[in-house]
Amino acid sequence: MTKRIIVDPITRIEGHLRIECEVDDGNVIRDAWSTITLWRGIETILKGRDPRDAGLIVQRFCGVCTYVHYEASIMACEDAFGIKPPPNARIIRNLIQGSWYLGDHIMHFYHLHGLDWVDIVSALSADPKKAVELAKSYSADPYNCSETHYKAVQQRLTKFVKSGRLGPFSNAYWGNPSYKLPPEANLIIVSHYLDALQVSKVAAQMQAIFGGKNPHPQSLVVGGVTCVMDALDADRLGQYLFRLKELQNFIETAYLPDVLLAAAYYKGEGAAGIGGGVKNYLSYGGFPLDDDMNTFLFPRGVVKNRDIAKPLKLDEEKITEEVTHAWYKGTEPQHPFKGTTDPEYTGYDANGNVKGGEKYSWCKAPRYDGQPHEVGPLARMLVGYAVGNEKIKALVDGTLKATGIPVSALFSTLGRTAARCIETKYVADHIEGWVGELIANVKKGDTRTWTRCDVPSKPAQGRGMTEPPRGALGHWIRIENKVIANYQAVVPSTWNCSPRDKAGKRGPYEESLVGTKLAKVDQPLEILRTIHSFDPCMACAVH
Amino acid sequence: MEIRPVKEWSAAIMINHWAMALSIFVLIVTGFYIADPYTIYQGETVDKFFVGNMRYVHILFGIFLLFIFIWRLYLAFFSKFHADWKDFFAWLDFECTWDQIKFYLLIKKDPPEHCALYGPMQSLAYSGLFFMIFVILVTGLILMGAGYHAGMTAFLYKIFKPVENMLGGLAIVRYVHHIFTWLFILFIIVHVYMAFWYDAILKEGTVSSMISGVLFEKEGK
Amino acid sequence: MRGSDDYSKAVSNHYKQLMEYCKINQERLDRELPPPREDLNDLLAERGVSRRDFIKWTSVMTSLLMLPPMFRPALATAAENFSRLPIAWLHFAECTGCTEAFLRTSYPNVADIVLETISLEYHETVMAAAGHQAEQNLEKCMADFKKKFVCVIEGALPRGLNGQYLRLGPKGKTAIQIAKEVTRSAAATVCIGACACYGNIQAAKPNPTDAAGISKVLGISTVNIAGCPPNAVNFVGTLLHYLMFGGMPPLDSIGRPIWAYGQRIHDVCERRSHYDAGEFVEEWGDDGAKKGWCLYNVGCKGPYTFANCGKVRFNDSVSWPVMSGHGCIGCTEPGFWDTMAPLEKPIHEASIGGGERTVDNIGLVLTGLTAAGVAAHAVASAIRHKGKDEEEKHD
Ligand code: HEM
Ligand code: HEM
Ligand code: NFV
Ligand code: SF4
Ligand code: SF4
Ligand code: F3S
Ligand SMILES: [Mg+2]
Repeated sequence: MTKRIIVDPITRIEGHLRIECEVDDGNVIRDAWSTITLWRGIETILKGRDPRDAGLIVQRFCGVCTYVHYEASIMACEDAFGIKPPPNARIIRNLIQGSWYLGDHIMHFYHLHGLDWVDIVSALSADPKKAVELAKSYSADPYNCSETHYKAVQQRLTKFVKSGRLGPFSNAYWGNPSYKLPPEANLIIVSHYLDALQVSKVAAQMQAIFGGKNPHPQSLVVGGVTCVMDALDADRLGQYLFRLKELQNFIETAYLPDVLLAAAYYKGEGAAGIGGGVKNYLSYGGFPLDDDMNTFLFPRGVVKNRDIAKPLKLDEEKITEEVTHAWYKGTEPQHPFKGTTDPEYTGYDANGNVKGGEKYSWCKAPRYDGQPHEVGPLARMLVGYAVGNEKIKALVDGTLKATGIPVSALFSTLGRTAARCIETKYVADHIEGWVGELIANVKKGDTRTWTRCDVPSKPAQGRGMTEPPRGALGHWIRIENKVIANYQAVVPSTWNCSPRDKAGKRGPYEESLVGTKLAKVDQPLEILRTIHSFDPCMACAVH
Repeated sequence: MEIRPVKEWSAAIMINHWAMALSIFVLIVTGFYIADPYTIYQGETVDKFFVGNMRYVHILFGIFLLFIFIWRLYLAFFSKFHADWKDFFAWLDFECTWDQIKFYLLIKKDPPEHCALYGPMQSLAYSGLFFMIFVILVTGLILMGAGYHAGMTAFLYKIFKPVENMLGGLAIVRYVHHIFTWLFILFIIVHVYMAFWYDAILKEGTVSSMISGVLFEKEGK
Repeated sequence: MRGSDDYSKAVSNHYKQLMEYCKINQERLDRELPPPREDLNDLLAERGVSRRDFIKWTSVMTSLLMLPPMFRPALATAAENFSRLPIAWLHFAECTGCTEAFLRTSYPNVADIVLETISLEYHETVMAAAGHQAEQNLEKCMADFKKKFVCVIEGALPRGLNGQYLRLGPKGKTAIQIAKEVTRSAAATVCIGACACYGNIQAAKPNPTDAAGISKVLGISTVNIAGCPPNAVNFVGTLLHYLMFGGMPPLDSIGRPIWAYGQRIHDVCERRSHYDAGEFVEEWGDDGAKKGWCLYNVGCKGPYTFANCGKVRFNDSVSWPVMSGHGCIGCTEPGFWDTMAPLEKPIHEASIGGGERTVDNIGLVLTGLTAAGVAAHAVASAIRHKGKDEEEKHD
């Protein structure tokens, strides 16, 4: 006998996600359906508008990764207009995007994902002294680490518990046997949970220095950036670098050690490949390092069937979306340039479950070469590793060695979480160089921040492809009569949250849940852990 | 044939007319600058106040127009010479209006007998114009009130705020204000032409009437 | 000066009454609200904020809220009581940017620490429980704190498909159903962000899901902390006001607190002197842009937008849109995606149905046509009425 469980809302993500699973008598998930329960129709809203307005509009796809849609849209327009932004603009965009990675990944690990690994209640019984020792065995100078501080954190938590008002921590899964960390480890990470609240604000300030505000910055335009005063102001660059140092310190002395600490206790799960999911990985290439967009910090490419020995070249023509199981009209896979978004809602069945055999989600099913692909930090690290990027290779190998985990353990929930941490360091290590590049360029006398352009009066089309924190993002725009004739976005979370396709192949979330054993069927902890490891963003996925 | 002068307009109406014409002219010019300001490059920022002055002149003449309009409404109802408010509805005599249209379209050679001070199309045009003035005044006062929070302006702004909300915000108010500017331009072209045309066709001295107050009527009419 | 004497007497009477009211309310809240979750003073001390800094902050905040200095102590009490106020925060059709803004607030003062003590009984982005357990938390909040908790809403409500464009929770209720249930048992409803206030992006033309703001859909009055996202300081101030007076601060005609949304961006803009002087950025990155000139010609909508962004700025006062060289897009105004378009040009340059069809171009064409029509009419009349003149001569 199997039984159906519903987890709705999946919390600690962006947006509205419902997961339904079929669980057998041994508490093992046999099948899974992921359903996004909101449609907003922004692709429809874009039609008929000035293409230059699209960036700010699509930014409202998502308030978490916000900027990336802005940039992707601007890049799509630049492609359609046939222009390139000047070097200063490219660098500043990388600086904003770079700080986004730092803030987003830190917030994800601590505030969205952390409680899947960490038991707050157990932290109350930790010995602060031992916790200090434990922290020091993972970092020479751990972040905000002292016996008094750990005690203070414990006191603060105790006050919550005593007042009977746990607030956001109430009614969770504390004590579930799936939590593996000793009390001291829990205490360390919980204390960093609180620190990270402050630290992610610093990343937001970095974005605001060149973006005007966070979320939803407002300083990009087709052809360049508007923040020329900030770009030419040495004081501003100093403010940015100062904050970068703060974040780098947190990454080195909290984030990395905490992930290694958690990995030490959860490596069994990694080795068992729990949460592995589909076996294909995709990266569009992120952070252009030259003005012709030939080289990227995150390489472009595809890994098929987990074969890291044979990376494939990305062929944009092979990207499609189909809607056999999504609440839209249509049957055939469509390339985004010709994509349509016409709702056709069919609801839930009589028992209040999704109709798994029919349409069951607002999320479309993106496919590359007809296959579902996982995108995101793990995909980026795998593609980078596969194409032989030396720095990525060294970082990945180093981490594996430090934790004593085999390469194969990367294809798992734990691997995904570790990859995110590794790439945070990778990005953080490169940002300072870009600031230097900007300064050098300005010193040479190049103060351009914008390339003059206008909307083409002839029909035109273009695409912007990039790698935001959650994975491969593409925006495709067609322009006619100087307004938007069609606009399609295929977003990282669309790839990962994809429902089944016509051939019945599950999307990455669904596939990654199958085979997972739940410690307690009425506590969906393992489901949350695996789903969170993708860092879901539903507003992005459906828009 | 005998031609005799008939007093058509009182001095008040004439002064009112030309004051209104002047205000509208200034408002159009300054208004378009406010909509599309070009940069004044020479000089230090602190020494310049070009947009500020343009706005000042615009708002000043806007307030002029407000008072001129109120005065014109007063005359329409209480003028001792000729309270003409009923004449603005001459176009409600549809048969006459149709004949007038035929006259304008050169299908008929002679205009119909006027049953009022204005020809039926004229009455329609002036009613429309009064409506236009009303709209541009209200939108103008809202735009003004949005920036000044004191005195009469603030009071009027309170009254008109629901209009702003109904239209969908200040941006739309400004857009409507801008569209109506074009309607004024179109009106002026036709209006001035018709004045000269009447003069040429009917030889009643329409153009000069707005200056002298006298129209020349032919005997027997 | 009798008149002004009377006036100041009336004002001081008014404030005395308000003070009375504030006292009564704070005593009531003291009885009714649950005990504090967190000790603000401990937290301030831990962050190195001295008592003096705190007092200074209360005076800044009091004047921001347009209250006289006598309310400082009451505001301090409100700040200390912040964590006692239970909050249920709902997400509907939105992007979570408002949550992000609120989590990442850093005002160079105490506001963000106050905000940190907030007691979120329900908030999907941060709460540990999910699914059934999450639903239980919401039900518990409604039962335990009936008419005492504040319902904060982020996101619009889609009305199309009977509300089914957004279904939530294990039972698959529509967002509208949940919104009705929760707001009904809340003491007050605060809309955070343009989505909840006025519909925002999903309600932009042609509004495919027929989405609208909370007050419009539910027919209730809400406090609208407008903006996309709004400045979290405006949210904190509004809740502090609630903790002082038990009600919401004076609102403008579309529900926005006047203390925060009473003035236009244009009237408090640091580039305003350049506007008045006639110094404009004509294209991105030009000399004017480098000098910080006015952004009107590249589409700034500050003249149509009521908000305090230029005063309070964002992210530790690091910047705000106009400071970063891009105009304001009017995000605190209803329907701004439609009414403020095109975002990077003055509004009258909006294309009507595509291409170069702007009002001015249409106006020019109509003017040309009218002039041509007039000229044609003149010629035709000259021919048509030629005979007439001759006839008349024979009279
Ligand atoms: C025939 C009469 C008028 C014409 C043709 C006219 C024209 C204009 C135009 C074209 C604009 C610029 C709109 C844009 O940006 O697209 C404008 C702005 C404005 N008008 Fe008028 N207007 C008239 C009457 C008035 C009146 C009666 C008032 C007020 C009492 C007024 C007050 C304003 C104000 C306050 C602005 C906005 C200026 C600013 O603060 O930036 N206008 N007008
Ligand atoms: C050759 C020049 C013009 C002549 C002969 C002329 C004549 C007239 C006449 C006979 C009327 C009807 C009188 C009345 O009821 O007030 C009138 C009304 C009007 N005219 Fe003109 N006009 C001339 C130019 C203009 C110009 C340039 C403007 C505006 C810029 C203008 C604005 C108006 C307005 C607003 C009215 C209607 C309001 C009213 O009835 O007071 N006129 N004009
Ligand atoms: N999925 C997604 Fe985003 C990201 N990163 C996307 O483009 O989060 Ni809101
Ligand atoms: S108001 Fe803006 S930032 Fe807030 S949820 Fe809506 S779209 Fe996102
Ligand atoms: S930049 Fe915008 S808000 Fe500032 S003065 Fe210019 S138009 Fe006004
Ligand atoms: S765009 Fe919004 S954030 Fe402020 S400056 Fe304008 S209201
Ligand atoms: Mg799409």
